[in-house]
Amino acid sequence: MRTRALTLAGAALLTACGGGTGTSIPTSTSSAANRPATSAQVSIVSPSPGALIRGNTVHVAIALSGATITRVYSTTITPTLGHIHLYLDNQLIYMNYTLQQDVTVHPGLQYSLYAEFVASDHFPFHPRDVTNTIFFSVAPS
Amino acid sequence: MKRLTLAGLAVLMLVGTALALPARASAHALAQSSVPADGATLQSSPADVTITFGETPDPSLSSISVVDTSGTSWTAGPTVVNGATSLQLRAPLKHLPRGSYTVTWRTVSAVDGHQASGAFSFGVGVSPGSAKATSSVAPTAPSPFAVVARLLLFVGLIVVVGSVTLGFGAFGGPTPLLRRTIAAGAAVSLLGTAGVTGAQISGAGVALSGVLGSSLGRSLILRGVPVLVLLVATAFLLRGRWLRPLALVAGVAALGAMLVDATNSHAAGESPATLNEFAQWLHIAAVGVWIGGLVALLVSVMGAPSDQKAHAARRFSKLAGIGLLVVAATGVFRAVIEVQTWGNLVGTAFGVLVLLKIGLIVILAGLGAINRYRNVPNVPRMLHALRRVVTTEVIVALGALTVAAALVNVAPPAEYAPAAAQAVQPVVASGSDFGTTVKVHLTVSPGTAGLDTYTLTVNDYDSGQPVDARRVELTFTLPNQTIIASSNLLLSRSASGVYNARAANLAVDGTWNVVALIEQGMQSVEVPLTLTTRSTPPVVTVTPFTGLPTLYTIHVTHERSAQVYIDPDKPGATEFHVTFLDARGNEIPIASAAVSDTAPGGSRMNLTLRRLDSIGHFVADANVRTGSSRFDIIASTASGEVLSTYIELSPGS
Repeated sequence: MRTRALTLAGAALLTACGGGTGTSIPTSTSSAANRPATSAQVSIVSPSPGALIRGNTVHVAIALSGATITRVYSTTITPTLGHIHLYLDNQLIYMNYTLQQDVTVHPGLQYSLYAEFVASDHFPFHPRDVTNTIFFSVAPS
Repeated sequence: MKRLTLAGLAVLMLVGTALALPARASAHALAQSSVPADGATLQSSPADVTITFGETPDPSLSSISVVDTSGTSWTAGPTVVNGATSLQLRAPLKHLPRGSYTVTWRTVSAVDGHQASGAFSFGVGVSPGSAKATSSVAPTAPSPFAVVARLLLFVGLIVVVGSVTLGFGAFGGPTPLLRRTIAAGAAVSLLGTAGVTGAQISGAGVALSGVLGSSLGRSLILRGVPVLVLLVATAFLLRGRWLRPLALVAGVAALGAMLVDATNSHAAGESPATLNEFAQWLHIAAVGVWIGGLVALLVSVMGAPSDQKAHAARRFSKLAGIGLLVVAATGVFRAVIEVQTWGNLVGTAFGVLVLLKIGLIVILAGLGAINRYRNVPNVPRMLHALRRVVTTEVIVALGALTVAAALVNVAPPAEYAPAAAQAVQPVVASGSDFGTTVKVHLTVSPGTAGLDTYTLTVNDYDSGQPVDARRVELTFTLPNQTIIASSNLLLSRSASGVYNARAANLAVDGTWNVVALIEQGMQSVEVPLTLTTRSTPPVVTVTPFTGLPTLYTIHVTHERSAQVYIDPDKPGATEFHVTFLDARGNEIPIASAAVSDTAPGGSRMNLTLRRLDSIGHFVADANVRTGSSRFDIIASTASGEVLSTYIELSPGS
């Protein structure tokens, strides 16, 4: 009887021990979704690989076939509509829904450049539609 | 002795398991947070009121109302579930003019049918201080009818389980007296089931027609099925045919009804639900074996020969011992999950009821021990004493069951904790000046964006004595942005070394640099502080993509969202993208925006945001570490609306 009483008393003492409450951000997660693919072809027309640029700007020209540039933001993805994300030294730069852009560069440096055709929600297609990375140099001033 | 030691170890293991489980209890749908927040002062009319609850409310039986100080309603439509998460209810609003507003909410839990209600206030253009309702979060108090109904349900079901168990355990099947006891138990459980569902429907304040399609309707059907099976089995049992199979069916039906009750109880709202529901079911089933068996023993030995009584008592004593241990183990397990802290055990109604129940069970265990070790070994000589103790046990057990019935209708303290903490916890910051002259401690209450009370204590750095300054002023700066200008706040002395003011300098959510200027005579010192407003965590929709970065949509307000991703989605050099969208998914023209990155460990860095189009898409170079980084985002739309939010990202996870 004493053992049983002790067991119960111990259990009762332990009753009030416990941790605090956790917090959580109300978040909903959907299962992994599939992004649409695009058959658009994107390539860098200018500068050409290994080009030596003179001055402080490089003129970047992109060729896009099989799709058109749209300024309209939409979460309804159409594989033939989107815009270009241009990466200079892996840094995304302003392209403003065009295929041509003058980009500021610094004399005496070498740069890498690639472009990606992304959907109208600013998010990539899958697989990603990316050009080859080209390298060019800027002549010393 | 060895068996008792093993049993004790089993109890401790269960308690250990309970302590190791993540603590979350939310058996009533109580409000955990809201937008607008309690006490918030808004610059413009919100489109709606959104409340996040700790447990899924039944939207068809729950409501949110918003009234002004004259009692005029300002809701523009019915209360609905807020999109992504079933834990949120939303009430659309008409355009609110400047003034104070009181929000009252009422919920019926979709999990267990329990009701809860509460109220809070906010202001548009003014402090909500003059609103007539004060902040409150409370479950609706249980009605005596609800408690009595639950008691009848418990008593009926445990009498059935106890009678069937004793019948098979001591007599090889249900005796005529036990069959009548089973029938009585079935009738009482029917009354209890009707009472429990009736109390829930009555508490929900809806017509029966409104109940049928709701969670209460589903609960009603679920509860009714096993009770109907029990009644049918009992009816045939009373006819005296197929006694053993029918008794078995009655016992299983009663256990099924107990299972339905467990899955519609506090246990269903706790994590992990299945383990808690199983423990709850085992608890009440063991009560059936133990206490129900006691009742059955009292009834079944009436008029029986002494040797038969002695045989029944000995057999029951073994069953009761097992039942008691299971009741204790599962009861402690469930109590640890629900009560959580020593303070809750003595400081809440739920905790006091748990203590009372433990006390009654200890008394029952003591009485059981008297029978087991003194009376049972000496029957039939001690039969009279045995019956007297058993009768006392049944009376005490009735008390314990009444307490249990009340517990079912009272919210566990764990679910108050988040709401209470949310309501009262101020934001604090401490620091000292560069020359270590003074130490300051700043308390900002409630610490949300908008109107706050600031209390600054200033003490000598070395002696700790209060410092009486000629002038104390706070300067507020939201770093790395030009949207919110710096502002100053002059504090008034309220006591020696204590200065305070009430103002709305923390204009938006975010991490603020605050400088306390303390002027003493000709000298002045500055103490830099950092304050992060206490904000309702934003609702974030996470969209993972195979082979691409994960896309996060932060719901800044009902009509504004920010779409965020980092590319590449892994620690190291990456690009942080943010696009601001309206309710229709169109980009919002943004005049300016700023983002800061707080790395794991707390170091914060302002990111240089670049435009990627002429509307609302921005990108910044970031160097994110492994772990969770917080990105604070602030933007001003072309129309002057300020959007402020944050997101915590764990790259690559």
